[in-house]
Amino acid sequence: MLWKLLKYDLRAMWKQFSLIWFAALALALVNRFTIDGRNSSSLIGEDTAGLLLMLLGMVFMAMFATTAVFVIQRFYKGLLGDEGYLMHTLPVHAWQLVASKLLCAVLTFTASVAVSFLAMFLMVPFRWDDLSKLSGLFRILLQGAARHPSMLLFVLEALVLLFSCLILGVSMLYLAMALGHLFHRRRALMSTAAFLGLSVLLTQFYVRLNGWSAYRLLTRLLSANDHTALWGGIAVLLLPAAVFLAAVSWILSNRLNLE
Amino acid sequence: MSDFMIESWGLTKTYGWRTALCGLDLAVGRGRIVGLLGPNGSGKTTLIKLLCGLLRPTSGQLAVNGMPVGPETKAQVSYLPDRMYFANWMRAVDLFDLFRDFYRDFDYNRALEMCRSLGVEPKDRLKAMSKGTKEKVQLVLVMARKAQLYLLDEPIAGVDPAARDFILRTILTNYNEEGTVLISTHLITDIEKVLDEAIFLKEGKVLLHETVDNLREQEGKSLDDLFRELFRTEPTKGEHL
Repeated sequence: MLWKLLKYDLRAMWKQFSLIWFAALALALVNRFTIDGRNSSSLIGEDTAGLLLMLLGMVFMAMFATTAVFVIQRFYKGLLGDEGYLMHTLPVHAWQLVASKLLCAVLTFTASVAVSFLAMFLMVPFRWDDLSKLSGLFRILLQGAARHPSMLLFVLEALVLLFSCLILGVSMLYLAMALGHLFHRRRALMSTAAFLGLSVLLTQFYVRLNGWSAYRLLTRLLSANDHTALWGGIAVLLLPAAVFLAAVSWILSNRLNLE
Repeated sequence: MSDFMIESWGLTKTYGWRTALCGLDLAVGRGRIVGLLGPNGSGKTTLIKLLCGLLRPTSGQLAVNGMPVGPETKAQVSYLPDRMYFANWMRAVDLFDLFRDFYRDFDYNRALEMCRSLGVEPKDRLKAMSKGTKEKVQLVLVMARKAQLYLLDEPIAGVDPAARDFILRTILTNYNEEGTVLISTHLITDIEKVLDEAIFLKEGKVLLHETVDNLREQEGKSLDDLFRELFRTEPTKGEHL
């Protein structure tokens, strides 16, 4: 059922982002030739090239702003607005609805970052003979990875850490919206206040956790190994996220008020 | 499988200090078309929302087909809310896909057929459809299922008399006859002829629950007249200066 929900959320994501992603890639491709054109006088002048580069920057900004708005809107409208009449009457558990929105949010951010990197790659002018240099670079990277396989694990762990940060942020947003929804009036204002309150609470949690001697001992033990240190960091991020998500699921299944 | 489609014992729902349903004891059988009748604020929508799992009871128990309300009962309930629940980016066919994914009893081809007969183009964007057409799409989604329990919240409110007939005809020609249909409304005259049973709600309590034939026989009047008698309120007298 989670996959089916995700399919629906991803379809909504695609409808909203396909245009902006293609615009970013298309503009990057155009910039690839105009940047090249600055060095060897081309059809497009330097001013136009600068303008196009600025336009690409604006598309990037719009893309990340739209991503943030999309994450908020998909949760608020989809589960706490009129669309909730459809979603909450589907034969699924509340946690599945929340998990689907969260996965979709993480995938949307990831896709936007991937599009940004791809756009930058497209923008850099390269020649075919550069490819041979690139293949040499990849060969060195692969040889290095073969000699030190733990490096790949580090990269993977660093990615999990980044995703954990994202999950914590999104789950805090979700809980703030769910708490704001418990009020009958001024729900947006209450959600904002809840977000600020949760931020303070989270900071206090980390401050108190650091002051706890058992935690300090555990941190020292984990720090003995770089991998365990990273996984410790991931756990510290995911623990409050799990609490936030559990609270959201509880509110949606026990205190839902779509009026 | 339970003998009753809907059962409740001491069902109570409060919103803050306000009590919407107060100790409701109810048993509704299978294969019935039941009218949930009462004035505004009598608890009709609250009862329907409890049945489809949008709300949780404050106290008491509620069962649909012998099971407490949850994902299993939601799979058997087809719910028509009193508002639009569409996302703007969708087309009717997107919703049909969604329903096919989640409800085993959803008949995709029947939904397309119903669209054709109702003059709805299923590939049009919902954003571009008129309010009436959107209502038709929502009706198609509900009636293209072979559900055990249909919960129709004010399906004929706010539409002209011709449209009311049309909606009722669509419901009557498409519902699963082994299932139960619960229609909430205060427009009694229009639905009286199709009802098997009537539940009169007043201030969150069941005032009367009887078959329509028995009510007509015992009371010697139409449901509409009975409704007017039960819920009559005297207008306040204004002071003339």
